[in-house]
Amino acid sequence: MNNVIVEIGKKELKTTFKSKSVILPLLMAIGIPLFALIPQLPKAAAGGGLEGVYLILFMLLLIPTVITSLVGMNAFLNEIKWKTIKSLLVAPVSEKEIFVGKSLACIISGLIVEACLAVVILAFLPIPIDVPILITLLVIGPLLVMFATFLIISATSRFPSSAEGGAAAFIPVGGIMAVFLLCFFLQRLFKIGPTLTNIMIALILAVLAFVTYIIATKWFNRERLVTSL
Amino acid sequence: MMIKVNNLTKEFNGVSALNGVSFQVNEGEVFAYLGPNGAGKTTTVNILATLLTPTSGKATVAGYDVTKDAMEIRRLIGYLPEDFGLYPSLTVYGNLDFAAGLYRISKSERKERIRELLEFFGLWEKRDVLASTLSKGMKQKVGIARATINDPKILFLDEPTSGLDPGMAREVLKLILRLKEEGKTILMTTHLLARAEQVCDSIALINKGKILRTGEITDIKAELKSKTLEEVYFAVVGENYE
Repeated sequence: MNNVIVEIGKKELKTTFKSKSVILPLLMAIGIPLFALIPQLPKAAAGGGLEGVYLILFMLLLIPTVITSLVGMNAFLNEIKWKTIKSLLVAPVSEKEIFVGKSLACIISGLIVEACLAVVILAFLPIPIDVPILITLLVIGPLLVMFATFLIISATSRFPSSAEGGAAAFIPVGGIMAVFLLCFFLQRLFKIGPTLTNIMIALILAVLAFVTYIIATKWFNRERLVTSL
Repeated sequence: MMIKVNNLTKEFNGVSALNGVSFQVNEGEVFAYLGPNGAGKTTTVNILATLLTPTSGKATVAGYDVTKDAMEIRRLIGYLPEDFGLYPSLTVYGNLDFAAGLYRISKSERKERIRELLEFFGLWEKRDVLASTLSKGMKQKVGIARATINDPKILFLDEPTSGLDPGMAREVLKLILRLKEEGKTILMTTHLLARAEQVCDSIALINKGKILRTGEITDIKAELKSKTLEEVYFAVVGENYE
Protein backbone atom coordinates (compact mmCIF):
# COMPACT_ATOMS: atom_id res chain seq x y z
CA MET A 1 0.00 0.00 0.00
CA ASN A 2 1.04 3.59 -0.68
CA ASN A 3 3.31 4.83 2.14
CA VAL A 4 1.65 8.23 2.45
CA ILE A 5 -1.76 6.61 2.98
CA VAL A 6 -0.27 4.42 5.72
CA GLU A 7 1.41 7.46 7.34
CA ILE A 8 -1.87 9.40 7.40
CA GLY A 9 -3.75 6.36 8.71
CA LYS A 10 -1.17 5.78 11.48
CA LYS A 11 -1.21 9.43 12.52
CA GLU A 12 -5.00 9.40 12.56
CA LEU A 13 -5.09 6.33 14.82
CA LYS A 14 -2.48 7.83 17.18
CA THR A 15 -4.20 11.20 17.53
CA THR A 16 -7.70 9.70 17.76
CA PHE A 17 -6.93 7.18 20.48
CA LYS A 18 -5.04 9.75 22.55
CA SER A 19 -8.17 11.86 22.73
CA LYS A 20 -10.27 11.29 25.86
CA SER A 21 -13.30 12.72 24.11
CA VAL A 22 -13.26 9.74 21.76
CA ILE A 23 -12.27 6.90 24.12
CA LEU A 24 -15.27 7.12 26.46
CA PRO A 25 -17.95 7.22 23.74
CA LEU A 26 -16.07 4.39 22.00
CA LEU A 27 -16.16 2.17 25.07
CA MET A 28 -19.83 2.94 25.59
CA ALA A 29 -20.63 2.31 21.94
CA ILE A 30 -19.03 -1.13 22.17
CA GLY A 31 -19.98 -2.09 25.71
CA ILE A 32 -23.64 -1.20 26.09
CA PRO A 33 -25.05 -2.84 22.93
CA LEU A 34 -22.68 -5.78 23.27
CA PHE A 35 -23.86 -6.67 26.76
CA ALA A 36 -27.47 -6.04 25.84
CA LEU A 37 -27.54 -7.97 22.57
CA ILE A 38 -25.08 -10.87 22.86
CA PRO A 39 -27.07 -12.71 25.58
CA GLN A 40 -30.17 -12.44 23.39
CA LEU A 41 -28.60 -14.46 20.56
CA PRO A 42 -28.69 -17.94 22.21
CA LYS A 43 -32.21 -17.19 23.48
CA ALA A 44 -33.38 -16.28 19.98
CA ALA A 45 -31.71 -19.42 18.57
CA ALA A 46 -33.24 -21.65 21.26
CA GLY A 47 -36.65 -20.22 20.41
CA GLY A 48 -36.24 -21.79 16.97
CA GLY A 49 -36.76 -18.59 14.99
CA LEU A 50 -33.70 -17.79 12.90
CA GLU A 51 -35.23 -14.48 11.86
CA GLY A 52 -34.69 -13.29 15.42
CA VAL A 53 -31.03 -14.33 15.22
CA TYR A 54 -30.55 -12.43 11.93
CA LEU A 55 -32.18 -9.34 13.38
CA ILE A 56 -29.90 -9.35 16.43
CA LEU A 57 -26.89 -9.96 14.19
CA PHE A 58 -27.72 -6.93 12.07
CA MET A 59 -28.11 -4.84 15.21
CA LEU A 60 -24.74 -6.08 16.44
CA LEU A 61 -23.20 -5.15 13.12
CA LEU A 62 -24.14 -1.55 13.78
CA ILE A 63 -21.56 -1.46 16.61
CA PRO A 64 -18.49 -1.44 14.30
CA THR A 65 -20.15 1.20 12.13
CA VAL A 66 -20.72 3.41 15.19
CA ILE A 67 -17.03 2.96 16.08
CA THR A 68 -16.11 3.90 12.53
CA SER A 69 -18.31 6.99 12.72
CA LEU A 70 -16.81 8.09 16.04
CA VAL A 71 -13.25 7.69 14.76
CA GLY A 72 -14.00 9.39 11.43
CA MET A 73 -16.22 12.15 12.71
CA ASN A 74 -13.38 14.39 13.86
CA ALA A 75 -10.93 13.49 11.10
CA PHE A 76 -11.12 16.92 9.47
CA LEU A 77 -12.62 18.92 12.32
CA ASN A 78 -9.55 18.19 14.46
CA GLU A 79 -7.21 19.28 11.65
CA ILE A 80 -9.13 22.55 11.55
CA LYS A 81 -9.26 22.94 15.36
CA TRP A 82 -5.53 22.20 15.72
CA LYS A 83 -4.80 24.43 12.69
CA THR A 84 -2.84 21.60 11.08
CA ILE A 85 -4.99 21.42 7.97
CA LYS A 86 -2.75 23.79 5.97
CA SER A 87 0.38 21.79 6.82
CA LEU A 88 -1.37 18.64 5.62
CA LEU A 89 -2.79 20.15 2.43
CA VAL A 90 0.45 21.90 1.44
CA ALA A 91 2.30 18.57 1.29
CA PRO A 92 2.59 16.77 -2.07
CA VAL A 93 -0.26 14.44 -1.26
CA SER A 94 -3.22 13.87 -3.57
CA GLU A 95 -6.85 14.25 -2.54
CA LYS A 96 -7.29 10.48 -2.90
CA GLU A 97 -4.35 9.77 -0.59
CA ILE A 98 -5.70 12.10 2.10
CA PHE A 99 -9.18 10.60 1.79
CA VAL A 100 -8.01 6.99 1.86
CA GLY A 101 -5.48 7.69 4.66
CA LYS A 102 -8.19 9.19 6.85
CA SER A 103 -10.56 6.34 5.93
CA LEU A 104 -7.93 3.71 6.76
CA ALA A 105 -7.97 4.58 10.46
CA CYS A 106 -11.77 4.23 10.56
CA ILE A 107 -11.77 0.98 8.59
CA ILE A 108 -9.11 -0.59 10.82
CA SER A 109 -10.94 0.41 14.01
CA GLY A 110 -14.26 -0.85 12.66
CA LEU A 111 -12.82 -4.09 11.32
CA ILE A 112 -11.08 -4.94 14.60
CA VAL A 113 -14.39 -4.65 16.46
CA GLU A 114 -16.18 -6.52 13.66
CA ALA A 115 -13.60 -9.35 13.76
CA CYS A 116 -13.93 -9.65 17.56
CA LEU A 117 -17.71 -9.82 17.22
CA ALA A 118 -17.47 -12.50 14.52
CA VAL A 119 -15.08 -14.62 16.60
CA VAL A 120 -17.28 -14.38 19.71
CA ILE A 121 -20.45 -15.23 17.78
CA LEU A 122 -19.00 -18.01 15.63
CA ALA A 123 -16.78 -19.68 18.19
CA PHE A 124 -18.48 -19.24 21.52
CA LEU A 125 -22.22 -18.82 21.13
CA PRO A 126 -24.52 -21.84 20.81
CA ILE A 127 -26.30 -20.76 17.63
CA PRO A 128 -26.63 -22.73 14.41
CA ILE A 129 -24.15 -21.40 11.86
CA ASP A 130 -25.63 -21.27 8.38
CA VAL A 131 -24.70 -19.56 5.11
CA PRO A 132 -26.74 -16.37 5.74
CA ILE A 133 -25.05 -15.92 9.13
CA LEU A 134 -21.61 -16.41 7.58
CA ILE A 135 -22.42 -13.91 4.80
CA THR A 136 -23.68 -11.46 7.42
CA LEU A 137 -20.59 -11.65 9.60
CA LEU A 138 -17.85 -12.10 7.02
CA VAL A 139 -19.10 -10.06 4.07
CA ILE A 140 -21.86 -7.65 5.10
CA GLY A 141 -20.06 -6.61 8.32
CA PRO A 142 -16.83 -5.45 6.63
CA LEU A 143 -18.81 -3.84 3.78
CA LEU A 144 -20.90 -1.92 6.31
CA VAL A 145 -17.71 -0.63 7.93
CA MET A 146 -16.38 0.54 4.55
CA PHE A 147 -19.65 2.16 3.53
CA ALA A 148 -19.97 3.94 6.90
CA THR A 149 -16.34 5.10 6.67
CA PHE A 150 -16.69 6.59 3.20
CA LEU A 151 -19.95 8.28 4.19
CA ILE A 152 -18.55 9.89 7.34
CA ILE A 153 -15.24 10.95 5.79
CA SER A 154 -16.90 12.39 2.69
CA ALA A 155 -19.48 14.28 4.78
CA THR A 156 -16.94 15.72 7.21
CA SER A 157 -14.42 16.62 4.51
CA ARG A 158 -17.08 18.60 2.70
CA PHE A 159 -18.83 19.98 5.78
CA PRO A 160 -16.28 19.84 8.65
CA SER A 161 -18.56 21.71 11.04
CA SER A 162 -21.13 18.90 10.76
CA ALA A 163 -18.90 16.96 13.16
CA GLU A 164 -19.51 19.53 15.86
CA GLY A 165 -22.08 18.23 18.31
CA GLY A 166 -21.92 14.79 16.73
CA ALA A 167 -24.49 15.49 14.00
CA ALA A 168 -22.32 13.78 11.40
CA ALA A 169 -22.44 10.46 13.29
CA PHE A 170 -26.04 10.03 12.17
CA ILE A 171 -25.09 10.15 8.48
CA PRO A 172 -23.69 6.57 8.27
CA VAL A 173 -26.43 5.18 10.51
CA GLY A 174 -29.03 6.88 8.31
CA GLY A 175 -27.39 5.52 5.16
CA ILE A 176 -27.24 1.99 6.53
CA MET A 177 -30.83 2.06 7.75
CA ALA A 178 -31.90 3.18 4.26
CA VAL A 179 -30.06 0.18 2.74
CA PHE A 180 -31.66 -2.24 5.21
CA LEU A 181 -35.14 -0.82 4.58
CA LEU A 182 -34.62 -1.03 0.82
CA CYS A 183 -33.52 -4.68 1.11
CA PHE A 184 -36.40 -5.53 3.44
CA PHE A 185 -38.79 -4.01 0.90
CA LEU A 186 -37.17 -5.94 -1.99
CA GLN A 187 -37.22 -9.17 0.00
CA ARG A 188 -40.95 -8.84 0.66
CA LEU A 189 -41.63 -7.80 -2.92
CA PHE A 190 -39.78 -10.70 -4.53
CA LYS A 191 -40.26 -13.17 -1.64
CA ILE A 192 -36.60 -14.21 -1.58
CA GLY A 193 -34.86 -16.33 1.06
CA PRO A 194 -32.28 -15.18 3.63
CA THR A 195 -29.21 -16.27 1.61
CA LEU A 196 -30.27 -14.35 -1.48
CA THR A 197 -31.35 -11.41 0.67
CA ASN A 198 -27.92 -11.24 2.27
CA ILE A 199 -26.17 -11.51 -1.09
CA MET A 200 -28.38 -8.67 -2.31
CA ILE A 201 -27.51 -6.55 0.76
CA ALA A 202 -23.79 -7.25 0.23
CA LEU A 203 -23.97 -6.28 -3.45
CA ILE A 204 -25.90 -3.08 -2.75
CA LEU A 205 -23.42 -2.13 0.00
CA ALA A 206 -20.42 -2.82 -2.23
CA VAL A 207 -21.84 -0.65 -5.02
CA LEU A 208 -22.80 2.13 -2.61
CA ALA A 209 -19.37 2.08 -0.91
CA PHE A 210 -17.66 2.33 -4.29
CA VAL A 211 -19.93 5.13 -5.54
CA THR A 212 -19.51 7.06 -2.26
CA TYR A 213 -15.72 6.75 -2.54
CA ILE A 214 -15.71 8.01 -6.15
CA ILE A 215 -18.01 10.95 -5.40
CA ALA A 216 -16.15 11.85 -2.18
CA THR A 217 -12.70 11.96 -3.81
CA LYS A 218 -14.13 14.13 -6.61
CA TRP A 219 -15.84 16.36 -4.03
CA PHE A 220 -12.69 16.83 -1.96
CA ASN A 221 -11.87 20.52 -2.01
CA ARG A 222 -8.68 21.92 -0.45
CA GLU A 223 -9.85 25.51 -0.66
CA ARG A 224 -13.06 24.74 1.19
CA LEU A 225 -11.09 23.16 4.05
CA VAL A 226 -8.57 26.03 4.17
CA THR A 227 -11.25 28.70 4.23
CA SER A 228 -13.19 26.91 6.96
CA LEU A 229 -10.40 27.82 9.41
CA MET B 1 13.15 34.57 -10.64
CA MET B 2 11.84 32.21 -7.96
CA ILE B 3 8.40 33.72 -7.44
CA LYS B 4 6.54 35.79 -9.98
CA VAL B 5 3.11 37.21 -9.24
CA ASN B 6 1.29 39.03 -12.00
CA ASN B 7 -2.02 40.88 -11.60
CA LEU B 8 -3.33 38.36 -9.11
CA THR B 9 -6.88 38.70 -7.82
CA LYS B 10 -8.82 36.67 -5.32
CA GLU B 11 -12.45 36.96 -4.34
CA PHE B 12 -14.30 35.18 -1.55
CA ASN B 13 -18.05 35.11 -2.21
CA GLY B 14 -17.81 38.23 -4.33
CA VAL B 15 -15.66 40.11 -1.79
CA SER B 16 -12.26 41.09 -3.15
CA ALA B 17 -9.28 40.03 -1.01
CA LEU B 18 -6.57 40.67 -3.61
CA ASN B 19 -6.84 43.21 -6.36
CA GLY B 20 -4.22 43.02 -9.11
CA VAL B 21 -1.25 42.04 -6.95
CA SER B 22 2.13 41.90 -8.74
CA PHE B 23 5.64 41.36 -7.38
CA GLN B 24 8.73 39.22 -7.88
CA VAL B 25 11.11 37.40 -5.57
CA ASN B 26 14.65 36.57 -6.68
CA GLU B 27 16.40 33.29 -5.96
CA GLY B 28 18.16 33.16 -2.59
CA GLU B 29 16.66 36.33 -1.17
CA VAL B 30 14.52 36.95 1.90
CA PHE B 31 11.41 38.82 0.89
CA ALA B 32 9.18 40.52 3.46
CA TYR B 33 5.52 40.86 2.67
CA LEU B 34 4.29 43.68 4.84
CA GLY B 35 0.92 45.20 5.55
CA PRO B 36 -1.73 45.68 8.20
CA ASN B 37 -4.05 42.87 9.35
CA GLY B 38 -6.52 41.86 6.64
CA ALA B 39 -4.40 43.46 3.90
CA GLY B 40 -4.24 40.18 1.91
CA LYS B 41 -0.85 38.85 3.00
CA THR B 42 -2.01 35.39 4.09
CA THR B 43 -4.29 35.06 1.05
CA THR B 44 -1.32 35.73 -1.26
CA VAL B 45 0.88 33.24 0.60
CA ASN B 46 -1.91 30.65 0.51
CA ILE B 47 -2.24 31.06 -3.25
CA LEU B 48 1.53 30.71 -3.73
CA ALA B 49 1.52 27.63 -1.49
CA THR B 50 -1.29 26.15 -3.67
CA LEU B 51 -3.80 26.13 -0.83
CA LEU B 52 -6.10 28.56 -2.63
CA THR B 53 -6.71 29.11 -6.32
CA PRO B 54 -6.60 32.64 -7.70
CA THR B 55 -9.73 34.17 -9.19
CA SER B 56 -7.63 35.68 -12.00
CA GLY B 57 -4.06 36.62 -12.79
CA LYS B 58 -0.99 34.43 -12.81
CA ALA B 59 1.54 33.31 -10.24
CA THR B 60 4.53 31.05 -10.71
CA VAL B 61 6.78 29.44 -8.11
CA ALA B 62 10.14 28.16 -9.41
CA GLY B 63 8.67 28.47 -12.89
CA TYR B 64 5.62 26.35 -12.09
CA ASP B 65 2.11 27.73 -12.40
CA VAL B 66 0.23 27.68 -9.07
CA THR B 67 -2.99 26.52 -10.73
CA LYS B 68 -1.68 23.99 -13.24
CA ASP B 69 1.39 22.58 -11.50
CA ALA B 70 0.30 22.54 -7.87
CA MET B 71 1.85 19.14 -7.08
CA GLU B 72 5.29 20.14 -8.46
CA ILE B 73 5.20 23.32 -6.35
CA ARG B 74 4.22 21.36 -3.21
CA ARG B 75 7.33 19.21 -3.61
CA LEU B 76 9.58 22.28 -3.76
CA ILE B 77 8.22 24.45 -0.99
CA GLY B 78 8.08 24.54 2.79
CA TYR B 79 5.24 26.33 4.54
CA LEU B 80 4.87 27.62 8.07
CA PRO B 81 1.28 28.58 8.84
CA GLU B 82 0.52 31.37 11.28
CA ASP B 83 -0.47 28.89 13.99
CA PHE B 84 2.53 26.52 13.82
CA GLY B 85 0.56 23.60 12.30
CA LEU B 86 1.61 21.04 14.91
CA TYR B 87 -0.38 18.06 16.19
CA PRO B 88 -0.74 18.66 19.95
CA SER B 89 -0.92 14.97 20.87
CA LEU B 90 2.24 14.06 18.95
CA THR B 91 5.75 14.65 20.24
CA VAL B 92 8.20 17.01 18.56
CA TYR B 93 9.79 13.97 16.89
CA GLY B 94 6.36 12.55 16.00
CA ASN B 95 5.34 15.76 14.27
CA LEU B 96 8.50 15.81 12.16
CA ASP B 97 8.23 12.09 11.47
CA PHE B 98 4.69 12.50 10.15
CA ALA B 99 5.74 15.46 8.00
CA ALA B 100 8.65 13.43 6.61
CA GLY B 101 6.19 10.65 5.77
CA LEU B 102 4.02 13.07 3.78
CA TYR B 103 7.09 14.00 1.72
CA ARG B 104 7.83 10.29 1.12
CA ILE B 105 11.21 10.44 2.86
CA SER B 106 12.34 6.87 3.46
CA LYS B 107 12.52 5.54 7.04
CA SER B 108 16.30 5.30 7.01
CA GLU B 109 16.80 8.78 5.56
CA ARG B 110 14.12 10.18 7.84
CA LYS B 111 15.88 9.46 11.15
CA GLU B 112 19.00 11.23 9.95
CA ARG B 113 17.09 14.20 8.54
CA ILE B 114 15.03 14.69 11.72
CA ARG B 115 18.10 14.49 13.94
CA GLU B 116 19.92 16.97 11.69
CA LEU B 117 17.00 19.41 11.84
CA LEU B 118 16.41 19.08 15.58
CA GLU B 119 20.09 19.78 16.18
CA PHE B 120 20.09 22.71 13.74
CA PHE B 121 17.12 24.28 15.54
CA GLY B 122 18.42 23.38 19.02
CA LEU B 123 15.48 21.06 19.69
CA TRP B 124 17.16 17.67 20.10
CA GLU B 125 16.59 17.65 23.88
CA LYS B 126 12.89 18.35 23.30
CA ARG B 127 12.35 15.53 20.82
CA ASP B 128 10.13 13.44 23.13
CA VAL B 129 8.09 16.35 24.46
CA LEU B 130 4.45 16.64 23.41
CA ALA B 131 3.91 19.60 21.08
CA SER B 132 0.99 20.78 23.22
CA THR B 133 3.30 21.37 26.20
CA LEU B 134 5.84 23.55 24.32
CA SER B 135 6.10 27.32 24.69
CA LYS B 136 5.01 29.50 21.76
CA GLY B 137 8.61 30.15 20.76
CA MET B 138 9.49 26.46 20.83
CA LYS B 139 6.38 25.63 18.81
CA GLN B 140 7.46 28.18 16.24
CA LYS B 141 10.91 26.61 16.01
CA VAL B 142 9.37 23.13 15.60
CA GLY B 143 7.02 24.62 12.99
CA ILE B 144 9.97 25.97 11.00
CA ALA B 145 11.80 22.66 11.38
CA ARG B 146 8.68 20.92 10.09
CA ALA B 147 8.48 23.34 7.15
CA THR B 148 12.06 22.50 6.16
CA ILE B 149 11.77 18.71 6.52
CA ASN B 150 11.82 18.26 2.72
CA ASP B 151 14.82 20.61 2.31
CA PRO B 152 12.69 23.03 0.29
CA LYS B 153 14.05 25.51 -2.22
CA ILE B 154 11.44 28.07 -1.22
CA LEU B 155 10.01 28.76 2.22
CA PHE B 156 6.77 30.56 2.96
CA LEU B 157 6.67 31.79 6.54
CA ASP B 158 3.40 33.34 7.64
CA GLU B 159 4.07 35.63 10.63
CA PRO B 160 7.05 33.61 11.93
CA THR B 161 7.65 36.09 14.77
CA SER B 162 4.04 36.78 15.69
CA GLY B 163 3.34 36.56 19.43
CA LEU B 164 6.94 35.79 20.36
CA ASP B 165 8.88 37.65 23.03
CA PRO B 166 11.75 39.78 21.67
CA GLY B 167 14.39 37.19 22.58
CA MET B 168 12.61 34.35 20.83
CA ALA B 169 11.73 36.58 17.86
CA ARG B 170 15.44 37.38 17.47
CA GLU B 171 16.28 33.67 17.63
CA VAL B 172 13.72 32.83 14.96
CA LEU B 173 15.08 35.60 12.71
CA LYS B 174 18.59 34.23 13.23
CA LEU B 175 17.32 30.86 12.06
CA ILE B 176 15.81 32.52 9.00
CA LEU B 177 19.21 34.06 8.23
CA ARG B 178 20.85 30.65 8.57
CA LEU B 179 18.31 29.20 6.15
CA LYS B 180 19.08 32.06 3.76
CA GLU B 181 22.78 31.22 4.01
CA GLU B 182 21.84 27.70 2.94
CA GLY B 183 20.56 29.25 -0.30
CA LYS B 184 16.84 29.09 0.35
CA THR B 185 14.45 31.67 -1.03
CA ILE B 186 12.21 32.91 1.77
CA LEU B 187 8.97 34.85 1.60
CA MET B 188 7.79 35.93 5.04
CA THR B 189 4.97 38.06 6.31
CA THR B 190 5.68 39.99 9.48
CA HIS B 191 4.75 42.94 11.63
CA LEU B 192 8.19 43.34 13.20
CA LEU B 193 9.60 45.93 10.84
CA ALA B 194 12.91 46.57 12.61
CA ARG B 195 13.65 42.85 12.73
CA ALA B 196 12.52 42.32 9.14
CA GLU B 197 14.94 45.01 8.04
CA GLN B 198 17.82 43.00 9.48
CA VAL B 199 17.08 39.88 7.45
CA CYS B 200 15.23 40.98 4.30
CA ASP B 201 16.57 42.01 0.93
CA SER B 202 13.31 43.05 -0.71
CA ILE B 203 9.80 43.91 0.36
CA ALA B 204 6.28 44.39 -0.88
CA LEU B 205 3.87 46.61 0.99
CA ILE B 206 0.24 45.62 0.64
CA ASN B 207 -2.94 47.21 1.91
CA LYS B 208 -6.59 46.47 1.10
CA GLY B 209 -5.51 43.83 -1.41
CA LYS B 210 -3.32 46.19 -3.45
CA ILE B 211 0.45 46.39 -3.65
CA LEU B 212 1.51 49.90 -2.68
CA ARG B 213 5.26 49.52 -3.16
CA THR B 214 7.67 46.71 -3.98
CA GLY B 215 11.40 46.43 -4.57
CA GLU B 216 14.73 46.25 -2.76
CA ILE B 217 14.71 47.81 0.69
CA THR B 218 17.70 50.05 -0.05
CA ASP B 219 16.08 51.40 -3.24
CA ILE B 220 12.74 52.10 -1.56
CA LYS B 221 14.43 53.79 1.39
CA ALA B 222 16.47 56.00 -0.95
CA GLU B 223 13.42 56.81 -3.05
CA LEU B 224 11.32 57.80 -0.03
CA LYS B 225 14.26 59.39 1.80
CA SER B 226 13.46 57.14 4.77
CA LYS B 227 16.06 55.90 7.21
CA THR B 228 14.26 52.82 8.43
CA LEU B 229 11.77 50.27 7.17
CA GLU B 230 9.33 51.56 9.76
CA GLU B 231 9.49 55.00 8.18
CA VAL B 232 8.96 53.43 4.77
CA TYR B 233 5.99 51.46 6.09
CA PHE B 234 4.20 54.48 7.53
CA ALA B 235 5.10 56.68 4.59
CA VAL B 236 3.52 54.18 2.22
CA VAL B 237 0.79 52.50 4.26
CA GLY B 238 0.18 55.32 6.72
CA GLU B 239 -2.31 57.40 4.81
CA ASN B 240 -4.18 54.28 3.63
CA TYR B 241 -4.21 52.65 7.03
CA GLU B 242 -7.63 52.02 8.55
